[in-house]
Amino acid sequence: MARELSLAQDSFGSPIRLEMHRDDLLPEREILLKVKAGDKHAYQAIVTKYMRKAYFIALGYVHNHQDALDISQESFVRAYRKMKTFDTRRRFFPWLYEILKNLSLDHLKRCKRKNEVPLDGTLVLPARQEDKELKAALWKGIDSLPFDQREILLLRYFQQLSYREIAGLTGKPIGTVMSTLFHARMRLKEILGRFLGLEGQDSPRRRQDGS
Amino acid sequence: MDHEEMRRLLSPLLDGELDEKAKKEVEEHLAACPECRREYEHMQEIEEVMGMMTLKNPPQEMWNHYWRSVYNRLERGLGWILLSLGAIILLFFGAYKMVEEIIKDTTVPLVLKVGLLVFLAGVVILLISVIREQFFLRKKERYKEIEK
Repeated sequence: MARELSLAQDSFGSPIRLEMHRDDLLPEREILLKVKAGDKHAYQAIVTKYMRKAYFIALGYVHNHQDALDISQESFVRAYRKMKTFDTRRRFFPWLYEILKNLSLDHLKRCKRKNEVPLDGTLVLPARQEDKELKAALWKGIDSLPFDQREILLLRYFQQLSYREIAGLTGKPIGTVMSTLFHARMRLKEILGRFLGLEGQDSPRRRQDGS
Repeated sequence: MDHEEMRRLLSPLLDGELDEKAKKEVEEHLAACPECRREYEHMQEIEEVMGMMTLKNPPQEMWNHYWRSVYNRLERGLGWILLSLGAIILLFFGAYKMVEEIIKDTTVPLVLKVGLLVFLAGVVILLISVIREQFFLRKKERYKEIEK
Protein backbone atom coordinates (compact mmCIF):
# COMPACT_ATOMS: atom_id res chain seq x y z
CA MET A 1 0.00 0.00 0.00
CA ALA A 2 1.42 3.34 -0.98
CA ARG A 3 0.64 6.64 0.55
CA GLU A 4 1.31 10.10 -0.76
CA LEU A 5 3.52 12.00 1.61
CA SER A 6 3.98 15.45 0.24
CA LEU A 7 4.18 17.35 -2.97
CA ALA A 8 7.38 18.94 -4.13
CA GLN A 9 7.98 20.73 -7.39
CA ASP A 10 10.46 19.73 -10.03
CA SER A 11 12.51 22.16 -12.06
CA PHE A 12 9.60 22.86 -14.39
CA GLY A 13 7.12 23.49 -11.62
CA SER A 14 5.33 20.15 -12.00
CA PRO A 15 4.52 18.35 -8.79
CA ILE A 16 6.64 15.34 -7.89
CA ARG A 17 4.91 12.68 -5.83
CA LEU A 18 7.00 11.40 -2.97
CA GLU A 19 5.63 8.01 -2.18
CA MET A 20 6.41 5.81 0.74
CA HIS A 21 5.45 2.20 1.15
CA ARG A 22 3.98 1.59 4.55
CA ASP A 23 5.23 -1.99 4.48
CA ASP A 24 8.83 -0.72 4.34
CA LEU A 25 8.30 0.86 7.71
CA LEU A 26 6.82 -2.10 9.53
CA PRO A 27 9.86 -3.70 11.18
CA GLU A 28 11.30 -0.38 12.31
CA ARG A 29 7.91 0.79 13.44
CA GLU A 30 7.44 -2.29 15.57
CA ILE A 31 10.82 -1.78 17.20
CA LEU A 32 10.04 1.88 17.84
CA LEU A 33 6.72 0.95 19.45
CA LYS A 34 8.62 -1.33 21.82
CA VAL A 35 11.10 1.45 22.59
CA LYS A 36 8.21 3.82 23.17
CA ALA A 37 6.79 1.33 25.65
CA GLY A 38 10.07 1.60 27.61
CA ASP A 39 12.10 -1.30 26.20
CA LYS A 40 15.60 0.16 26.34
CA HIS A 41 17.24 -2.93 24.81
CA ALA A 42 15.05 -2.78 21.71
CA TYR A 43 16.64 0.59 21.00
CA GLN A 44 19.94 -1.14 20.20
CA ALA A 45 18.68 -2.18 16.75
CA ILE A 46 17.78 1.41 15.91
CA VAL A 47 21.06 2.83 17.20
CA THR A 48 23.12 0.21 15.35
CA LYS A 49 21.21 0.85 12.14
CA TYR A 50 21.78 4.62 12.12
CA MET A 51 25.01 5.13 14.12
CA ARG A 52 27.28 5.42 11.08
CA LYS A 53 25.03 7.90 9.29
CA ALA A 54 24.64 9.98 12.45
CA TYR A 55 28.38 9.98 13.19
CA PHE A 56 29.43 10.98 9.67
CA ILE A 57 26.82 13.73 9.42
CA ALA A 58 28.04 15.19 12.72
CA LEU A 59 31.65 14.81 11.54
CA GLY A 60 30.83 16.85 8.43
CA TYR A 61 29.54 19.66 10.64
CA VAL A 62 32.08 19.71 13.45
CA HIS A 63 35.23 18.24 11.76
CA ASN A 64 36.43 16.51 14.87
CA HIS A 65 36.23 12.81 15.69
CA GLN A 66 35.63 13.09 19.43
CA ASP A 67 33.00 15.82 19.12
CA ALA A 68 31.20 13.99 16.30
CA LEU A 69 31.09 10.82 18.41
CA ASP A 70 29.81 12.72 21.42
CA ILE A 71 27.16 14.65 19.46
CA SER A 72 25.89 11.60 17.57
CA GLN A 73 25.58 9.54 20.76
CA GLU A 74 23.90 12.40 22.57
CA SER A 75 21.38 12.73 19.72
CA PHE A 76 20.36 9.08 20.22
CA VAL A 77 19.99 9.70 23.95
CA ARG A 78 17.84 12.81 23.39
CA ALA A 79 15.73 10.97 20.81
CA TYR A 80 15.14 8.18 23.33
CA ARG A 81 14.09 10.65 26.01
CA LYS A 82 11.70 12.39 23.62
CA MET A 83 10.39 9.10 22.21
CA LYS A 84 6.97 9.64 23.77
CA THR A 85 6.41 12.58 21.42
CA PHE A 86 7.53 10.66 18.32
CA ASP A 87 4.85 9.71 15.80
CA THR A 88 5.75 6.15 14.78
CA ARG A 89 4.05 6.58 11.41
CA ARG A 90 6.95 8.86 10.48
CA ARG A 91 10.44 7.75 9.58
CA PHE A 92 12.84 7.81 12.49
CA PHE A 93 15.98 9.12 10.82
CA PRO A 94 14.70 12.55 9.67
CA TRP A 95 13.53 13.09 13.24
CA LEU A 96 16.91 12.07 14.66
CA TYR A 97 18.61 14.21 12.03
CA GLU A 98 16.80 17.30 13.33
CA ILE A 99 18.13 16.65 16.85
CA LEU A 100 21.60 15.88 15.49
CA LYS A 101 21.66 19.06 13.45
CA ASN A 102 20.58 21.21 16.39
CA LEU A 103 23.23 19.67 18.66
CA SER A 104 25.89 20.23 15.99
CA LEU A 105 24.80 23.85 15.59
CA ASP A 106 24.88 24.39 19.36
CA HIS A 107 28.41 22.98 19.37
CA LEU A 108 29.53 25.20 16.49
CA LYS A 109 28.06 28.25 18.22
CA ARG A 110 30.02 27.43 21.37
CA CYS A 111 33.21 26.91 19.34
CA LYS A 112 32.65 30.17 17.51
CA ARG A 113 32.28 32.01 20.80
CA LYS A 114 35.59 30.53 21.89
CA ASN A 115 36.96 31.21 18.41
CA GLU A 116 38.05 27.63 17.85
CA VAL A 117 36.67 25.51 15.05
CA PRO A 118 38.71 22.33 15.18
CA LEU A 119 40.31 20.85 12.07
CA ASP A 120 41.69 17.47 13.01
CA GLY A 121 42.23 16.03 9.55
CA THR A 122 38.89 14.29 9.06
CA LEU A 123 38.99 14.63 5.27
CA VAL A 124 40.77 11.92 3.35
CA LEU A 125 42.10 11.96 -0.19
CA PRO A 126 43.55 8.99 -2.04
CA ALA A 127 47.25 8.67 -1.05
CA ARG A 128 48.61 9.85 -4.39
CA GLN A 129 46.44 12.97 -4.19
CA GLU A 130 47.27 13.81 -0.59
CA ASP A 131 47.23 17.56 -0.48
CA LYS A 132 46.92 19.31 2.88
CA GLU A 133 46.54 22.73 1.36
CA LEU A 134 43.62 21.60 -0.79
CA LYS A 135 41.88 19.93 2.15
CA ALA A 136 42.25 23.00 4.33
CA ALA A 137 40.98 25.24 1.50
CA LEU A 138 38.01 22.95 0.99
CA TRP A 139 36.98 22.82 4.65
CA LYS A 140 37.38 26.57 4.88
CA GLY A 141 35.26 26.94 1.77
CA ILE A 142 32.52 24.64 3.03
CA ASP A 143 32.51 26.31 6.45
CA SER A 144 32.12 29.75 4.94
CA LEU A 145 28.86 28.78 3.19
CA PRO A 146 25.53 29.82 4.73
CA PHE A 147 24.25 26.93 6.83
CA ASP A 148 21.44 25.81 4.50
CA GLN A 149 23.94 25.53 1.62
CA ARG A 150 26.50 23.73 3.76
CA GLU A 151 23.89 21.27 4.98
CA ILE A 152 22.75 20.27 1.50
CA LEU A 153 26.30 20.18 0.13
CA LEU A 154 27.47 17.84 2.90
CA LEU A 155 24.47 15.55 2.47
CA ARG A 156 25.05 15.42 -1.26
CA TYR A 157 28.80 14.80 -1.22
CA PHE A 158 29.49 12.91 1.97
CA GLN A 159 26.24 10.98 2.32
CA GLN A 160 25.73 10.60 -1.44
CA LEU A 161 22.02 11.34 -1.08
CA SER A 162 19.79 12.07 -4.06
CA TYR A 163 17.78 15.31 -4.23
CA ARG A 164 14.69 13.38 -3.19
CA GLU A 165 16.44 11.87 -0.16
CA ILE A 166 17.82 15.26 0.87
CA ALA A 167 14.33 16.72 0.56
CA GLY A 168 12.92 13.91 2.71
CA LEU A 169 15.57 14.42 5.37
CA THR A 170 15.54 18.19 5.60
CA GLY A 171 11.83 18.71 4.93
CA LYS A 172 12.63 21.10 2.06
CA PRO A 173 10.96 20.89 -1.36
CA ILE A 174 13.07 19.33 -4.13
CA GLY A 175 13.12 22.65 -6.03
CA THR A 176 14.69 24.33 -2.98
CA VAL A 177 17.26 21.53 -2.62
CA MET A 178 18.19 21.97 -6.27
CA SER A 179 18.57 25.75 -6.18
CA THR A 180 20.39 25.70 -2.84
CA LEU A 181 22.87 23.19 -4.21
CA PHE A 182 23.36 25.33 -7.30
CA HIS A 183 24.15 28.39 -5.16
CA ALA A 184 26.43 26.32 -2.92
CA ARG A 185 28.37 25.16 -5.96
CA MET A 186 28.69 28.71 -7.26
CA ARG A 187 30.06 29.85 -3.90
CA LEU A 188 32.39 26.88 -3.73
CA LYS A 189 33.64 27.70 -7.21
CA GLU A 190 34.38 31.28 -6.13
CA ILE A 191 36.20 30.07 -3.03
CA LEU A 192 38.16 27.24 -4.66
CA GLY A 193 38.46 28.87 -8.06
CA ARG A 194 41.86 30.42 -7.42
CA PHE A 195 43.13 27.25 -5.83
CA LEU A 196 42.03 24.99 -8.64
CA GLY A 197 42.94 27.52 -11.32
CA LEU A 198 39.41 27.57 -12.68
CA GLU A 199 39.66 31.08 -14.07
CA GLY A 200 42.90 30.38 -15.85
CA GLN A 201 44.94 31.41 -12.83
CA ASP A 202 48.14 29.61 -11.95
CA SER A 203 46.91 27.54 -9.04
CA PRO A 204 49.00 25.78 -6.39
CA ARG A 205 47.35 22.51 -7.46
CA ARG A 206 48.12 22.92 -11.14
CA ARG A 207 51.69 23.94 -10.37
CA GLN A 208 52.05 20.71 -8.38
CA ASP A 209 50.67 18.67 -11.23
CA GLY A 210 53.10 20.37 -13.57
CA SER A 211 50.26 21.45 -15.84
CA MET B 1 13.84 28.45 -21.17
CA ASP B 2 16.28 31.33 -21.13
CA HIS B 3 20.03 31.22 -20.55
CA GLU B 4 19.82 31.82 -16.77
CA GLU B 5 17.29 29.03 -16.30
CA MET B 6 19.48 26.68 -18.31
CA ARG B 7 22.49 27.68 -16.23
CA ARG B 8 20.64 26.73 -13.06
CA LEU B 9 19.94 23.30 -14.49
CA LEU B 10 23.66 22.56 -14.93
CA SER B 11 23.87 21.52 -11.31
CA PRO B 12 21.08 18.86 -11.51
CA LEU B 13 22.49 17.77 -14.90
CA LEU B 14 25.80 17.05 -13.20
CA ASP B 15 24.00 15.07 -10.49
CA GLY B 16 21.97 13.06 -13.01
CA GLU B 17 18.76 14.45 -11.54
CA LEU B 18 17.08 15.67 -14.74
CA ASP B 19 14.50 13.69 -16.65
CA GLU B 20 15.25 12.78 -20.27
CA LYS B 21 13.40 15.73 -21.78
CA ALA B 22 15.10 18.34 -19.59
CA LYS B 23 18.46 16.65 -19.99
CA LYS B 24 18.20 16.84 -23.76
CA GLU B 25 17.22 20.51 -23.64
CA VAL B 26 20.14 21.44 -21.37
CA GLU B 27 22.61 19.44 -23.43
CA GLU B 28 21.46 21.21 -26.58
CA HIS B 29 21.91 24.53 -24.84
CA LEU B 30 25.39 23.47 -23.66
CA ALA B 31 26.43 22.70 -27.21
CA ALA B 32 25.40 26.20 -28.30
CA CYS B 33 26.50 28.30 -25.29
CA PRO B 34 30.26 28.59 -24.59
CA GLU B 35 29.63 30.43 -21.31
CA CYS B 36 27.52 27.58 -19.92
CA ARG B 37 30.00 25.05 -21.27
CA ARG B 38 32.82 26.71 -19.33
CA GLU B 39 30.64 26.90 -16.22
CA TYR B 40 29.83 23.21 -16.57
CA GLU B 41 33.51 22.29 -16.95
CA HIS B 42 34.32 24.23 -13.76
CA MET B 43 31.56 22.37 -11.97
CA GLN B 44 32.98 19.09 -13.19
CA GLU B 45 36.42 20.02 -11.83
CA ILE B 46 34.98 20.85 -8.42
CA GLU B 47 32.96 17.64 -8.61
CA GLU B 48 36.13 15.69 -9.30
CA VAL B 49 37.87 17.14 -6.25
CA MET B 50 34.82 16.68 -4.02
CA GLY B 51 34.33 13.16 -5.32
CA MET B 52 37.84 12.17 -4.21
CA MET B 53 37.31 13.42 -0.68
CA THR B 54 35.92 11.10 1.92
CA LEU B 55 35.47 11.45 5.64
CA LYS B 56 37.99 9.55 7.72
CA ASN B 57 36.73 6.23 9.03
CA PRO B 58 37.03 5.83 12.79
CA PRO B 59 38.51 2.60 14.20
CA GLN B 60 36.17 -0.41 14.11
CA GLU B 61 36.42 -0.56 17.89
CA MET B 62 34.38 2.63 18.10
CA TRP B 63 31.42 0.98 16.37
CA ASN B 64 31.72 -2.07 18.63
CA HIS B 65 31.36 0.10 21.73
CA TYR B 66 28.91 2.57 20.29
CA TRP B 67 25.68 1.06 21.59
CA ARG B 68 27.20 0.35 25.02
CA SER B 69 28.12 4.04 25.37
CA VAL B 70 24.63 5.16 24.36
CA TYR B 71 23.11 2.67 26.80
CA ASN B 72 25.37 3.89 29.62
CA ARG B 73 24.33 7.45 28.91
CA LEU B 74 20.66 6.46 29.03
CA GLU B 75 21.15 4.84 32.42
CA ARG B 76 23.30 7.64 33.74
CA GLY B 77 20.68 10.11 32.57
CA LEU B 78 18.09 8.54 34.86
CA GLY B 79 20.65 8.59 37.69
CA TRP B 80 21.26 12.31 37.19
CA ILE B 81 17.53 13.08 37.12
CA LEU B 82 16.94 11.19 40.40
CA LEU B 83 20.02 12.76 41.98
CA SER B 84 18.96 16.28 40.97
CA LEU B 85 15.39 15.71 42.09
CA GLY B 86 16.55 14.38 45.46
CA ALA B 87 18.97 17.28 45.90
CA ILE B 88 16.26 19.83 45.10
CA ILE B 89 13.85 18.25 47.61
CA LEU B 90 16.53 18.20 50.34
CA LEU B 91 17.59 21.75 49.58
CA PHE B 92 14.04 23.12 49.65
CA PHE B 93 13.21 21.24 52.84
CA GLY B 94 16.38 22.50 54.53
CA ALA B 95 15.74 26.07 53.40
CA TYR B 96 12.10 25.91 54.54
CA LYS B 97 13.12 24.62 58.00
CA MET B 98 15.79 27.29 58.35
CA VAL B 99 13.44 30.10 57.37
CA GLU B 100 10.75 28.72 59.70
CA GLU B 101 13.24 28.68 62.62
CA ILE B 102 14.35 32.24 61.96
CA ILE B 103 10.81 33.60 61.54
CA LYS B 104 9.61 31.89 64.75
CA ASP B 105 12.64 32.99 66.73
CA THR B 106 11.58 36.07 68.72
CA THR B 107 15.19 37.02 69.48
CA VAL B 108 15.97 37.60 65.80
CA PRO B 109 15.52 41.30 64.87
CA LEU B 110 12.59 42.10 62.54
CA VAL B 111 14.84 43.76 59.97
CA LEU B 112 16.74 40.48 59.49
CA LYS B 113 13.48 38.59 58.98
CA VAL B 114 12.27 41.13 56.39
CA GLY B 115 15.67 41.01 54.66
CA LEU B 116 15.51 37.23 54.49
CA LEU B 117 11.99 37.24 53.02
CA VAL B 118 12.95 39.85 50.40
CA PHE B 119 16.02 37.78 49.53
CA LEU B 120 13.89 34.65 49.12
CA ALA B 121 11.38 36.50 46.94
CA GLY B 122 14.29 37.52 44.69
CA VAL B 123 15.51 33.94 44.46
CA VAL B 124 12.03 32.68 43.52
CA ILE B 125 11.60 35.35 40.80
CA LEU B 126 15.01 34.56 39.31
CA LEU B 127 14.28 30.83 39.41
CA ILE B 128 10.95 31.25 37.63
CA SER B 129 12.59 33.48 35.03
CA VAL B 130 15.32 30.90 34.30
CA ILE B 131 12.82 28.03 34.08
CA ARG B 132 10.62 30.08 31.77
CA GLU B 133 13.58 30.80 29.51
CA GLN B 134 14.64 27.16 29.40
CA PHE B 135 11.24 25.72 28.66
CA PHE B 136 9.45 28.33 26.57
CA LEU B 137 11.84 30.71 24.90
CA ARG B 138 14.24 28.02 23.68
CA LYS B 139 11.42 26.44 21.72
CA LYS B 140 11.35 29.41 19.37
CA GLU B 141 13.47 29.41 16.21
CA ARG B 142 16.99 29.33 17.52
CA TYR B 143 18.91 28.92 14.34
CA LYS B 144 17.53 31.57 12.04
CA GLU B 145 20.59 33.74 12.43
CA ILE B 146 23.13 31.00 12.48
CA GLU B 147 26.56 31.96 11.24
CA LYS B 148 26.95 32.68 7.57
